[in-house]
Amino acid sequence: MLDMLTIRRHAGSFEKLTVAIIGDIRHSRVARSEIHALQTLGAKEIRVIGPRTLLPKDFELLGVQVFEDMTAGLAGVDVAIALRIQNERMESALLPGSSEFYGLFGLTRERLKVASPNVLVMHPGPINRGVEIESEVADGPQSLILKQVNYGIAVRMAVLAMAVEGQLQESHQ
Amino acid sequence: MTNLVRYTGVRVIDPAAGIDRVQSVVLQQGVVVALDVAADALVVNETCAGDGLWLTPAFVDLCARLREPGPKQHGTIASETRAAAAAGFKHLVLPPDTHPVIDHGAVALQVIEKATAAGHAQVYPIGALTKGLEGKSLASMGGLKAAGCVGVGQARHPVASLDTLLRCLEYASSMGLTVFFSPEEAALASGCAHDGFMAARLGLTGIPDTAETIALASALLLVEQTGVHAHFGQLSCAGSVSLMRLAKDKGLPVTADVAMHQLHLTDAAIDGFNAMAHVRPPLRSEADRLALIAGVREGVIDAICSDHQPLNAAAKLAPFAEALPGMSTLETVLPLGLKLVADGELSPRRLIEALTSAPARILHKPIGALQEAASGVILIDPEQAWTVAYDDWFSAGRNTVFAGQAMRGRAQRLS
Repeated sequence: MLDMLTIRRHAGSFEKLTVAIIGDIRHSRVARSEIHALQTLGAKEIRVIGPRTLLPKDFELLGVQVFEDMTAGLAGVDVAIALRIQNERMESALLPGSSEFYGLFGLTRERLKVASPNVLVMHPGPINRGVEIESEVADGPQSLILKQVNYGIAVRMAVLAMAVEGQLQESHQ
Repeated sequence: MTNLVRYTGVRVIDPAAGIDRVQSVVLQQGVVVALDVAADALVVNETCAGDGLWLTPAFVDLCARLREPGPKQHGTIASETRAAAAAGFKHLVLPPDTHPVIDHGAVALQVIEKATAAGHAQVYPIGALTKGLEGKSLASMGGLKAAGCVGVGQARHPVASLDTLLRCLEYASSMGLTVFFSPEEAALASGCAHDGFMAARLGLTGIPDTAETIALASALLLVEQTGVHAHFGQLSCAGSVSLMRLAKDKGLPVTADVAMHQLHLTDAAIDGFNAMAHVRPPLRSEADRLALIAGVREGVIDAICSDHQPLNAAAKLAPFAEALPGMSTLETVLPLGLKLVADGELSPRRLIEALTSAPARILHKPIGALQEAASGVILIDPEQAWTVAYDDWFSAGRNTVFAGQAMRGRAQRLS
């Protein structure tokens, strides 16, 4: 929800947006929630990018475009969401190591050149600098990562307020 | 002669004898003593109208967990054999993964005695292939056979190495024991659902069909090498049907079964994290389901089992992955089978064969045929409508995905 608020505040309407989610899709609740939310809100195109070991099976049936290559996957995207890579995935049978992952799937200034000129960069945090995202991108003008943190507080407050209100209404009845 | 009962106009289906015809039949204490014109000619004590009913041998199940020996909170030999009897079964094969494991003749004897004392159904234990099912050293297969085990197996426990498995198969072959496999490669089976779109969408860890086919393929190669008789149970995917077809075409001494629920359900049933549909092997794709039905129709898969695994209500009150896998299935086998008949997928004769004479042949037991005194006889009303409800349910298991659903077809044991 906080990511949807962030996108709506900074990119406007969802109908025109191409959104890419990058990295460990397989183990990510964030990726699944965002795909459902973006589809519900009518996003134009949703992409997931990562190596096969981090992509769930038959994911394209969910209505997303699956890319195993960053350059192809990032071409023309309006929003790029990098996911946190858990350390225990590294040097397992899933990934050969963090430097190789960064080399192939790290979100860098260079890679973002193929994206839309006004591309927005997001990350659910906490970030691994130099693993899934370059510091200059994380701290750069296109980054909304700190905004996501702010909106996260607001969204949680709103959800709690609604939940408590619902309880109060029930107890009054 | 006394106590002779004649059923007139009943459809007698006895695949072992090649019989499927509407006729009269006379029973004496549950044993068929005359058929057809001979049955019409006998002077009997009682005559019953059998119109619309089927008379068949009692069912034989190749895989039913009874939860005993064990902690019993999910069921007992008495409760589950009672459920079996109510569903038309008289003969149940018990896998060795009990507590304690059936790796000693004394445990097997205890199981057989308890079932006999309960009086509802005959239980045939499978002994452990390795001590404690630990997959490391040979179990005392000679003692297990002497105690009445119908074969040996590992249930779903892995064997440490192919070398150990090879030695186990050689030894079982020397003992003249059939090896019962539930093929599963442990390294690929750490998930909880079929590795397909549904698992991907729900974020559940998948079990690919290769978890089954790799284990099946390597076992088949070792069967070819050793010549041991092998039975492959609870197959779940199209790839396994292809491998079994190849093995049978080659003339290997192998047989197979599939659980009835695998012929009806797919991974669509787990949507909404429905823990009742958490079974192992997992429910797979529609293509797999259709291939399994075709396998049964063509005889590549010999028998249909229940893969009965009763669990109490608490066992399913957990997130999908943590909920214990398994379904209480004995009481839905017949109506689900009759649905396959109604849908034109199986002939009545093939269905009854897969539940009687085919499993009996695999067990090398004189059951599953009307001419055998030990077989038992059931009367089936294929049209009787009922609803699955725990109030009207004999199994201690509170874990059926079919709860609340309308079923058609019920059996009554005559002996």
